Amino acid sequence: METALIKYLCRFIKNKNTKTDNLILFRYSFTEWPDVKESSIEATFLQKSSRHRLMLSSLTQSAVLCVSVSSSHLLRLYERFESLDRENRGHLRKEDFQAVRELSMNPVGDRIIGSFFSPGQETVDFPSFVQVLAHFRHTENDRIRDGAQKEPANSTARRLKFVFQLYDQDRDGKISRAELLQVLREMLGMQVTEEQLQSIAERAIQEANQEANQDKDDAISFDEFRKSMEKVNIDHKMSIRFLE
Amino acid sequence: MLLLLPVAVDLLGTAAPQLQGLALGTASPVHHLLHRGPEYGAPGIALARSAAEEPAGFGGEERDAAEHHSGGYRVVQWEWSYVQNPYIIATWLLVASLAKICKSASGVCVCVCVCVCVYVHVQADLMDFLLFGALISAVDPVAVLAVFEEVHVNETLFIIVFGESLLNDAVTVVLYKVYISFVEVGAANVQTADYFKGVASFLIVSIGGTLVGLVFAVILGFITRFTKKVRIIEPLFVFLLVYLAYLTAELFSLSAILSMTFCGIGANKYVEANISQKSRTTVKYTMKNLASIAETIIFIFLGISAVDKSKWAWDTGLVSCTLIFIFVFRAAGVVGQTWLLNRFRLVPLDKIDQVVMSYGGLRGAVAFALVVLLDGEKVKAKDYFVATTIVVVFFTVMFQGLTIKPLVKWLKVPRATNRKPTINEEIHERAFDHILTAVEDIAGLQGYHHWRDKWEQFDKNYLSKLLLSKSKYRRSELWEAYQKINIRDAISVIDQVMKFNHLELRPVHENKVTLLNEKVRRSALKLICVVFVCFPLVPAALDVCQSPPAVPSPPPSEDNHLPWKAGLGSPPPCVSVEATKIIPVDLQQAWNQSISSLESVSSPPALAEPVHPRISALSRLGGPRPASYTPPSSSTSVRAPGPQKRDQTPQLMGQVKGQTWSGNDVSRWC
Repeated sequence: METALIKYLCRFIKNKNTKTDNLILFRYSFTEWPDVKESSIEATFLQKSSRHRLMLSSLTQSAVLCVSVSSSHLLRLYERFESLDRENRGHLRKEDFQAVRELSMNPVGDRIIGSFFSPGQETVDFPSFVQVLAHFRHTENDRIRDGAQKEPANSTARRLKFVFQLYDQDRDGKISRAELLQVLREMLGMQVTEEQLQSIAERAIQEANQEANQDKDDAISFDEFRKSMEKVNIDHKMSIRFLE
Repeated sequence: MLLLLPVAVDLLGTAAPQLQGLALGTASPVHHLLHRGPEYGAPGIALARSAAEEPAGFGGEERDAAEHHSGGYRVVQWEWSYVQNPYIIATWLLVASLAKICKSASGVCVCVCVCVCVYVHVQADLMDFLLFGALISAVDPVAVLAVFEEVHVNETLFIIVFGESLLNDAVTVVLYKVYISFVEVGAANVQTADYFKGVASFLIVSIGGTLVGLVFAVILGFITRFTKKVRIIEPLFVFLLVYLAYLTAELFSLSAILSMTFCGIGANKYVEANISQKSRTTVKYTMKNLASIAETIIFIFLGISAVDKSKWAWDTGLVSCTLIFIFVFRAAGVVGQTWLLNRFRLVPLDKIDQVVMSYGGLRGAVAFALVVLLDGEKVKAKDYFVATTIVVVFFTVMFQGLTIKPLVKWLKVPRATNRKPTINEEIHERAFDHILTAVEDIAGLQGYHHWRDKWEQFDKNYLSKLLLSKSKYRRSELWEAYQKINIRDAISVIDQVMKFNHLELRPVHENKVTLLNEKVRRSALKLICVVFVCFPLVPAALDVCQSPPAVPSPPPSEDNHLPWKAGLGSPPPCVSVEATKIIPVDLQQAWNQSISSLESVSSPPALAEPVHPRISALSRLGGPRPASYTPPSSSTSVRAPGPQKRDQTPQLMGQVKGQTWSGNDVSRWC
């Protein structure tokens, strides 16, 4: 139901003159997730000085999700979503992702696919699809809009959290040694032996523990992870330019 | 220079101190700033001319002396004419390099001022000025490199300015040739087709030069794949092939600098992997020295030309206008092109970057060489152009070159970061690359990461197989980075141990002494084991790690993390007998020193730094030791320690020897 809604919205934006500087603000509320019982669309046209953006926010009972991409990006992503969704079911499953050929050669491909699915979910709908991709949006001159309650998806903390969850498959808030070894094995695989992987993992954990100077356990917590990455410019490293 | 050379030659034979004055006074190149004041400037030439009369007197004596001895066998002869040319050149280079020492020691900057005012209007038409504009606008790679190397701006900015100066060769020389041909033909005879031909020639020259360079890069990579047995001539291959790349591009009148540059860029990855560490060092330092020589010669030439009044003619209007315009138009060009670039860049170039880019556009030898090569018959205003170019070069290099450092500091330009890599950063940065490639694939975008990944696949599957030697093909970059980090820590630990040896004696309680001795010795032993593991990379690391880093004192609980106390699971590396015999000399000394100091009664004081945090890291790296005692064969060059500690040392070394890697690594290390 909501995909049809998005379709409608996208066509709505496309038909309008998207080249002008308009801010289209949609707010629609879901009373229940994912079934949409009723939706109310409030379309407000506002004048804005920089380029057009689309802010898509869905209000649930407990959380406010803000996904901000420009409208042409959204349209492009929707077209991609539709092309991945071969059977036009309106949502994506793991097999649809795995059909992307290059992912099979990518060491972290399976993890990325897994990150699109919330725990316990078997399908991905379009808002979640966009939301995950929004982590990688390039930060331009973002300004605080009214209605932007939560920090945007592409802030540094959110990005780091996303990557952390890629490593931390069992979601216990820590990257244990076994999980780190698993990642290293996937990335390096054929090139190094098991013992070398063990040494690297050992050193990494030990280093992270040292820098944070906190618990000396055998895992990397999110704070230690963040501290060890503080010198890396995450915003530059994790940005994709969604080309127009 | 040609005028003064014969004069100098006469002088050298007889009056060396006067030559010093002459050389120092007239050769006032930019970077070789001298103590002697300007009083040697103009009088330098007079000095030369007056001194030239002296040899007449001396020469007469010599000839008399020579006549006395003619007819017999001369044991020692004066072979001046035989060696004069290289002798003079070497002496001038020596003097200029000595001036560099003086400059770096004192920082005093004095230069010769060339000030002659002659008001003559310049006779030149549009084509001549276009020609002049083309050659004066070229940013010079030598000057840029020389200045920016001291300033240490961040890499992006450096690459932008330096890359521009390299690529300028293609642009400037092509434009120069095009305009020269227009000037020769005459402005009236130039057809529109010629303009298009000019544009086409620019494209052909630059792209052709690049391709020639890349071809030679492939050849070089391929050759170095097989040089394992002939390590000593590896640098020769590198020099020869790069020089051939230069000459081949010249042969086809393509851009020679671009050819050399892209040969270096293309071959870098493979050659660096294939050749030995010593060859790498040789190539690097030879090139630096050659570059220094060439730079010196160029600027001496420039300085001499500045004072040789017959070569140029002064026009105030032209000079001042040129100075103003090059600055203004460069700034305008930079601003305009940055605006265009920023639409495509992920990280935009901000105002500060643009200021540094426009300020860092130094003119140098390229412009000067081109202007001197002008044909005086065809280009009537050549002398004015020469004068202007000299002034422009001097001004940009001296004024801008000297003030850019304070400017950079004042603008707070982000400097080059020398941060030490940590293993976490290495792992996660590689993970980011994979993650972003995956996301790009999912989103259906063919962005930067997609193409980069495609290139790396191509490289891994085809190029590396072709160009990398078999042993290097298999290694993993992450593992190499990991070992480099270990080496760096090992070196810093050795420095710590060395510090212990040099500190004052203090009366210490005996138990503490024993404990301290044990810990330090164990840590040093651990260190040597790690060093053996990373044996092939030790020479690399000794180059990499220059200064001992400052070490914070760890909390005392760190002491407990010694291998036989911690229960961590990774097995220690295999240490082969052959490897243990070949300890690098520096570490051997440090090792011996530390052992000797620990054995003697004069023990290191009880400082609050018993164990470097890295020691504990390394010790934990080694893993646990099984309790079994294996007597060692004499596998180290360490003297036997004192009696009460004998049981500890052999146990450690034995266990280290006993444990081995499984699988491929046995063949690698043992």
